[in-house]
Amino acid sequence: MEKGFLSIVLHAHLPFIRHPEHEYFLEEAWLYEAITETYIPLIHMFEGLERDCVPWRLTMSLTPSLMSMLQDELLQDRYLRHLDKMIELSNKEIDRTRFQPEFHETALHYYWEFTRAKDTFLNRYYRDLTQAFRKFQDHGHLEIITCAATHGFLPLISRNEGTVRGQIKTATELYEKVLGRRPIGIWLPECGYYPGVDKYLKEQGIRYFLTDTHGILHASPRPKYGVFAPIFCPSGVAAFGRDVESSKQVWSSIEGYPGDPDYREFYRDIGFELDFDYIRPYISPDGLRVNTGIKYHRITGSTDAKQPYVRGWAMQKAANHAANFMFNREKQAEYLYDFMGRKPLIVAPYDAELYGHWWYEGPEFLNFFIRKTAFDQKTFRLIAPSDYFKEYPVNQVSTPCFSSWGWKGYSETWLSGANDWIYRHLHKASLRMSEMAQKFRGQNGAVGRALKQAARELFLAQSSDWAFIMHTGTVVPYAVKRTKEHLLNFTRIYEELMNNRLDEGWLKELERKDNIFPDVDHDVF
Amino acid sequence: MALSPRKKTKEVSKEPLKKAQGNTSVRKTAAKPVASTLKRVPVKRSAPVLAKKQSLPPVPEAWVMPPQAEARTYQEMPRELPDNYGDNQIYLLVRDPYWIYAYWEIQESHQRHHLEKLGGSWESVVSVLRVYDVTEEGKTPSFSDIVLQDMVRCWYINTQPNRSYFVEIGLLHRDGRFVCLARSNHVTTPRSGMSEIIDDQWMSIDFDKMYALSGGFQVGKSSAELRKLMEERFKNAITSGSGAGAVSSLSSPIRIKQRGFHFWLECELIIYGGTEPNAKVTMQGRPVQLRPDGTFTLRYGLPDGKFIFDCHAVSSDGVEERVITPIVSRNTERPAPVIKAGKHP
Repeated sequence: MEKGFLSIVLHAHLPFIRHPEHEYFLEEAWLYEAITETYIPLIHMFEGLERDCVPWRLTMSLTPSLMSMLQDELLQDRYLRHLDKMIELSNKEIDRTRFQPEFHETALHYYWEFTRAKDTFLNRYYRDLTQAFRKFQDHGHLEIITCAATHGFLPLISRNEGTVRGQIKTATELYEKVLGRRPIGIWLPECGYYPGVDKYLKEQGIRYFLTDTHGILHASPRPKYGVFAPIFCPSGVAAFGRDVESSKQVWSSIEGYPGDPDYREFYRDIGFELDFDYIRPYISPDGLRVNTGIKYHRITGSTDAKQPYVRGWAMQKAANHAANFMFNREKQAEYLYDFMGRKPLIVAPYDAELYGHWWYEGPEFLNFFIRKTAFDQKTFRLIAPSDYFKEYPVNQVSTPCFSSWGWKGYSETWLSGANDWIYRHLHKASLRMSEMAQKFRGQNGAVGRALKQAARELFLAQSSDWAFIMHTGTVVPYAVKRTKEHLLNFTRIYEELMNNRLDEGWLKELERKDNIFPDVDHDVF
Repeated sequence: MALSPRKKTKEVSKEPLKKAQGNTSVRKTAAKPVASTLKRVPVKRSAPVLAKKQSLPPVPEAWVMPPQAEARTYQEMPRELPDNYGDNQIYLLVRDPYWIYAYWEIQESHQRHHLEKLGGSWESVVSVLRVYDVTEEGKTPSFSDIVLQDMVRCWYINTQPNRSYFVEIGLLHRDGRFVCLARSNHVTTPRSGMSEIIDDQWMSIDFDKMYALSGGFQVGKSSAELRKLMEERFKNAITSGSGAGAVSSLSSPIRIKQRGFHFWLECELIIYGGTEPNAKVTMQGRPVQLRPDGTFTLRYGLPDGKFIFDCHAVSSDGVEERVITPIVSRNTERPAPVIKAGKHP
């Protein structure tokens, strides 16, 4: 019998970026890179586990904005176009590296990966990867949880009830439409929890959420088992806390696995390195050099003289790291079991895009780890958070502490001198949304459509990603533009509706452009 | 001093980010006994002028992007957001156990109306944030005043963990009378440590040890660490050049970079030719794709060494074969860098 449980939770999220008005749009590539480097490799791993009859259990959040993009036809077409270019480039690379054996094998590897990705995307899941994830959930291996509709950081946008209820309800409705069941758990955006938010989760039948470590540790009354058992909020919704030790091994910039010298170096991309005329068709059409995803070097160490990447060495390292990670979890579970007198649950949440996109060998690490865990040890078992209640239905009642997994653990990332100006506008818009929804309740036709579009614009403006980008200082103008644009669109709808002079042509244009959540229910406000 | 944005002065430094200086300076303001400052605070009486547009937060210096990229993603700059919604309100948001954030909007007319109650003279009043601590229910809340500088529209207020607050913004007369212009919502700051409340049903042998085992002493550190690192490196990648620009292959392992100056060079070889469009061409035994006019181009990365390019063309009927074999060798010399005397800083 095992002495403990481990839940690995991968949070898959990208902000809604879709620009039909531009033939090429740089930021859309975030989705394409994540599909090729993270989502498809994970799907391949899941398929391999099923093929080999490996018992496994993993939890993933697929945010509503990501699901919407994965199901969007325009983005699907553009992803294929992108992938075809990558196949073309990697094919050229096979020839170009003919006399450089140290790069040639890696070039072959990319060609193989891209062509395989295309086959998976096009021929096996007919462009809709959400259905791949759905399959693994239906088979009982993957637990998919939801997230707020557009990843709004709830502690800072909860000025009125309708906003939070709208973010949660819209999310669960999309989940049900895409995955054919109701979500049992939720990843609160940025793990942002404030006491009381659980009420809205409960309304939608959500049974648990994840918080950062101190959300549980600083809960009141004191949690008897620390982060190693969930607590029930007074509302009855359970909260699971992040384990520090296991996430540090992966996350830490110093001790973490992803920094190993044999792993692939992220910042040496041929998009920046090769002759301009040669690479030109594969970078931004205006000539701006961008990442292509083809990289030939390994991290090597803290030197600029990066050595060639050797796939075999990297795989060996991934296997070693998986073994090390397993060993440490065994020791941790054993120790905690003795100390607690009850099986501990270790919750290890990560950004999904860490695996594959940032840490290229991440999916292989997970693959090794899951297989080893299944066959090489008996100390702990992989479970999804919801499985825990079958073993321990009775848990302590306690109110978690306001917290997030952002820098310093609270709201600072999303509320600082760089982005605090947005809240007066976001709040005003959400108050106006409620005002409109109540005034025009029950109306269909153009007014109903305008209300739905207003809700979409409000949600899109509320994405925590914009505030995050403003805070970190990368691509700031884009984040500012998106925030303002959605707020201005919202305001125009508000003014037109209130003054009874709706411009339907414009509304139609907007519906085509910001087409997320076609069935959004504005009565929630 | 009025609160509505009459003229835009430079944004007051209100961000307590840099702990060392921020803590002391802002806290000082908050703790300043109001009575003693009253006489010295000069009150401005400028006539109301139209509000200028709210300026955007400054872009950090580290952020540099090629101008063409900016122009592309940033073509149609939307209209600006309104500076003023015509409300009289103040709202609080929780940032962390030690700081809450207040933003407000007060109309000129609203202010004047209330000023009348205090005698109507700007010279005898100051604008203050009155911060009430309402942690203990049923008790009369204690408060402290923060005198507001010029044109601020928001403020970070220093707090204590696990306490409840609300704020009034108002005018304070030098004789001590106060009129409230708007009252905020109530907020409670997060705890910064373990709860003092223990549930008898869920007693632990050793709460402190459980806390330590759970990583309680590393709150807010590890999860963000790698993300932060990634972001910083990501920034470098986007700005191009600095982090990613240089190729160093096996043949050139040494790069000299003491003075922030760098130079790199790579060789590629282009071989091109032409034959009948239906002929079959191979290079080193590998088929070569011909263009419709029978020409072709091959491109190879060329390291140091000697390379034999064995190229065959066979006519479509298979009768005739031609062979051309260029032999190419590359040998790179790298003399030591020259630092010119006298110009060295």
